[in-house]
Amino acid sequence: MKYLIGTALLLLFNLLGNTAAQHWQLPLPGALIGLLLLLTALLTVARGWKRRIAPVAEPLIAHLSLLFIAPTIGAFYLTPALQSQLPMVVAVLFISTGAAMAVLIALLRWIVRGVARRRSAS
Amino acid sequence: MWSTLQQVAAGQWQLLADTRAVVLITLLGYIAGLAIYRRARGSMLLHPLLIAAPLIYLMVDQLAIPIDHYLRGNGLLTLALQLATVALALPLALQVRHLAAIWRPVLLLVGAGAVIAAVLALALAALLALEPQLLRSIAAKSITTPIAIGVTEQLGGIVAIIALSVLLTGLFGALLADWLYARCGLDDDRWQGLILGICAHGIGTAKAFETSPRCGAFATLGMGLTGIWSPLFLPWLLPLFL
Repeated sequence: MKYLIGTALLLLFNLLGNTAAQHWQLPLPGALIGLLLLLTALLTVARGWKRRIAPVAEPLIAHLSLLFIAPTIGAFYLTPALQSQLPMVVAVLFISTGAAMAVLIALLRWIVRGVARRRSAS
Repeated sequence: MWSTLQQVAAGQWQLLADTRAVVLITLLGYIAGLAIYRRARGSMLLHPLLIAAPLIYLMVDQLAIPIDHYLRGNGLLTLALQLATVALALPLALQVRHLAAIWRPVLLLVGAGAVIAAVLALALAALLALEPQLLRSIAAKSITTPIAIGVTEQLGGIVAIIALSVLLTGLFGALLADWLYARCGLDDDRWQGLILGICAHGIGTAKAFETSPRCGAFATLGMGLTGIWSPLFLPWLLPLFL
């Protein structure tokens, strides 16, 4: 029983999200719309559901990588043209991730300083 | 609306109906990957996925299973991945209370940060003249995988590449974080966590929880908000680089 209500709720919100995405031709994955609908419910009318969903949600999230290993295997079957560029992709990811973090630290400094200045002005 | 719902429900049931014994190969590979990862006391470079993927490829290859058959046969896990995506609402709902006092800088940082992370990756990839197909496949690299896969399908990218790119982005972000934070003198664990969540999603969040629970909470928030915001702007941003 512990798992049933949580599973049913996740299935229901996934179904609703996918239906909404398809019906209105939204440019978002259906499961993401399901997430947003469920989040709205958890924060407003259905706070008590958190405890019902947790026993199912926690193991699913803990083993996320099990759920997407299968599609990664496709990487071994890419065309040679794409495969030859994979080392460059790795380089792009390494440099751009490091750069993004550095830029965000700088941006954070700027934002925090702005907040401090406004506070001292008022 | 009702007929769409029936169609969607039929599609989801089909994922289960397509499931075949090959799902066992995935499970075995993952269990082996997880066991080795835990034996090595969680060294990040031994992420279970990095061990499991080659093992699974070897099994699929040696058993002469056609890749299409293998992929379709994992329908059960595809459905579970969708449910896991929906389930991310729970950690988010538990963390939003942290927003109350500082929602303005947080939203500003996530709003700009997710765009910056995507722009830097796409610009560098375009500069190196990578195939357009690869640009479509790495645009979603800072989003948590379950959402990134859905987004990449809509952007016309290759699911295998985004899954790998998200993993590498998370590993690189988590590896670089300590060095960057020390060098830049960023010692507030709330902001450390938020930036890890924005740039390095789930793996960054796991790393943030090692620093402190508060750091992890902010990383969860950063990851969740980035996952919600990125799919909204990526369809407009990507064509600028193609």
